[in-house]
Amino acid sequence: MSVWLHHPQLHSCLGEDLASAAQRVIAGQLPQPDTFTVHERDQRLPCLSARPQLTLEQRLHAMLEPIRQATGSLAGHLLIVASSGLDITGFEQLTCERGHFKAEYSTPLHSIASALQHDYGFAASLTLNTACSSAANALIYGARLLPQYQGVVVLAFEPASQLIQQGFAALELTNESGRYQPFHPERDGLILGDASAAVLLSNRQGNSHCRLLGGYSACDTSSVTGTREDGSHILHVSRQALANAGLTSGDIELIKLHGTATRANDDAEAAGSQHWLQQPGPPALCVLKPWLGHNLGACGLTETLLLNACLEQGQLPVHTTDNRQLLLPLATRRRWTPARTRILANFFGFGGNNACLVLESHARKEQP
Amino acid sequence: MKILAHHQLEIPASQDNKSLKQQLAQHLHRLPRRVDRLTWQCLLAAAPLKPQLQTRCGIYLASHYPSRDTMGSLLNSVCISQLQPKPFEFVNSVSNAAGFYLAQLLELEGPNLCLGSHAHIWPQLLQLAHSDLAAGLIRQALLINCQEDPAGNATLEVLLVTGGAGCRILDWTNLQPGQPA
Repeated sequence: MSVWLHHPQLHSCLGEDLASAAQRVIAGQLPQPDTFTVHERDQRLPCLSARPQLTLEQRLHAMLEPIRQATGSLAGHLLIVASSGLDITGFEQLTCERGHFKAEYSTPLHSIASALQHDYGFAASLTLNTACSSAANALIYGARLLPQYQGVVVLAFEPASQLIQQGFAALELTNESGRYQPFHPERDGLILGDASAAVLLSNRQGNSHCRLLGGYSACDTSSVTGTREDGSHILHVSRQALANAGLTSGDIELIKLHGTATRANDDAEAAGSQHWLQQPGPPALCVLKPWLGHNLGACGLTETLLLNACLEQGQLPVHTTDNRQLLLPLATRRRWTPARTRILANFFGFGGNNACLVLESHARKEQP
Repeated sequence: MKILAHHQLEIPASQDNKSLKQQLAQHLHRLPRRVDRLTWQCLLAAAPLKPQLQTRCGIYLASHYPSRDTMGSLLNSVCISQLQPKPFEFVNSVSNAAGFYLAQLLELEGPNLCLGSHAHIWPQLLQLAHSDLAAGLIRQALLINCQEDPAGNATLEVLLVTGGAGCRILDWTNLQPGQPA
């Protein structure tokens, strides 16, 4: 597998485009959380809202329109929509307006992809709904299906949903402190972030600086909400992803960790990552969620694009200058000099979905 | 790709979850707790294939809707009653939870994909399964398409296929829903 990522788009708490988001990361400007109120507790918890605020329809078109303009036509292309919440905010609004929700108000899971296929003239469309691994799976399977199409567009988004916010609060996985600290002994959970992203997958390099070399996704059946505590399934998936890319452990220079900052996930990921730290010249480690929040079904694409935008400019996303207490030694220096970086990127989700991407990022020759 | 099994199951809206659970007990010794209707439907459709299933099997599940009774309960609870959702209902609202329980109870360790179903889903399910079979990542693929009419009557089409590295994709034109393979 060797598929290039073109025309990356991102709308997140770091701003309305990928370039400004990358500049904020490089400048070390962490986003300031908003809050939402938890029902029955009268407690306010942090969340990271995309800026500027747009309707779901506006957000999706803002992602796809630049790709349509760049390609001229999307006929002959496959659209893959990856999301956990899909059109849930529309149902929430409908429920509030009518005072109740009935089954017959439901729209099919595929309705957004179907409408976008019609609007943009895609040859076909798919909706992937595999919780927080949705976008990672969209990249893996988009790359595998690419030979049958002129190109594949992956559109990933996660709306700011009451149901999702209240659900994570009910599971006591959400952060109270407002400090997003993956792998820190005082970590207190995740901060939800709504975001949208899109990218065109192509066999041609053109002016792309990032390619997908391989990936693997499998179901860990130990728990519907988490992975095996000893990290063995995470290690299994990452090894399969490397094999799929035709690489070995020593080829990896950087690992993008999932790093939700929840107790169980970080413990399992730290356990599953020990193998890599025991390699000669171990890879650097980084996380993206302190910058974007947890974008759930979209994180496989939002984090991939933001990481690559930083690496292109010779910079790592670094949110802390002190890693001494952390479960894993996250990178603390922003400067990143390799002209080419091979990356293992972890994405895990409810439903036992563990996915791992193998990416290659190329630094721009002229850096700012 | 070679077809190992192919069948169709009709589940009327009038058949409640308790009845689905009782029927499933004829196939499985262990049953899950607190799962939603989509999960019961998929388990009931796939469980008869258990003797034929190998561990290295991927799940490719397409559904028109998430479990609509769970979604309705969650939305009414959160948006109208201003209550926190029940944790198990919230976790089950993730559509791929059905695939998780299939994998857990049928002891499958491959990919678990959940897709939105539509009129042309079968060729796409076959493409996805073929991509994993042809790459040698799995030995079998369990494909399920769950269609539900507005009244809640469900039709589940189930296909179990196998194939080794470099295998050729099934020709969808020779395999229509409801017809024997």
